[in-house]
Amino acid sequence: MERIEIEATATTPKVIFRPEDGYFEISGKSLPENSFEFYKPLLDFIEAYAESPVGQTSLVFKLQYFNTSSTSHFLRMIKKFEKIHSDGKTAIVHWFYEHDDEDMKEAGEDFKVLSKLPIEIISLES
Amino acid sequence: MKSAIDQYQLMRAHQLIFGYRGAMSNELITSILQLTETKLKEMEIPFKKKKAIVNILIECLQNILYHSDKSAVDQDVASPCIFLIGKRDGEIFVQIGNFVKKHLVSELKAKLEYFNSLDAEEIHHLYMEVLDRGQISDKGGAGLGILRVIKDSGNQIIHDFLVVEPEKIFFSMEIKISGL
Repeated sequence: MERIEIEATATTPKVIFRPEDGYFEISGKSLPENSFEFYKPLLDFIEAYAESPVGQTSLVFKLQYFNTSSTSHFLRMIKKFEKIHSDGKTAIVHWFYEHDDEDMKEAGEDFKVLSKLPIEIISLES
Repeated sequence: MKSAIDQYQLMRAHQLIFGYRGAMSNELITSILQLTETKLKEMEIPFKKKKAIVNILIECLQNILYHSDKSAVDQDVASPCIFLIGKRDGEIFVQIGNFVKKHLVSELKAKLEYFNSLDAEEIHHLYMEVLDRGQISDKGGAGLGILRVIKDSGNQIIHDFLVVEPEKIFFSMEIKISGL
């Protein structure tokens, strides 16, 4: 599988998907006008990756702002990684938030409630 | 003719920070968010409140893009809307208005009234339920945006539907962020 590297724009996040070492990162702002159009290819990629993942997979979120339709896609992404975790290999979510951004911290906690995947919520000191 | 001083006094009387009237686009939303962030920082609004206000604007302004009546035209402006933000009595208020299709009114009204009847815990519970159910389309998801607005503002959404012409309905809402 080829890597995916997408630069951030004012409304879409930076995306780094490195299937060879199981590293998947989404960072910045996620408020695309059509979130389905933006996230559908990424979800398809994850689905294909989940068929033959490496031993340890990390999904990293470092977000500033996102719209609610992006939230739904993040949850879909996390749920696709659940399959990897239950197949004997490990997958973990690292959810980063700026130390004073309680809203972002709570968003990570919401995913923790809705997913079976281990989710580490990590404060970034600025 | 209204001079700038009249407009200035009108904005002053309404305690407006800034406003916009016209068509909405995603590019414009980005600019409005940047301007709002700069203003709120200048006003020394605490980070938590600033974040809540920006989140509310993201949902409300994108809602205009998704759900406003694209066939509505006013003074040559297609699909017009209004957006105002101001500060009064320790509250930031956001006023949003746009034309909506008549057939959407009853569902939107019922949804807003139901959401407004819930307390903070119920809103969060419903938000999680809708998020988990995952009913999303290219236009967002099943009231998730409205739920987030209520969750972030901590207040009910004041709303109104004005019948301008039989098929032309103007939908307005006001969201308040208190404790400032």
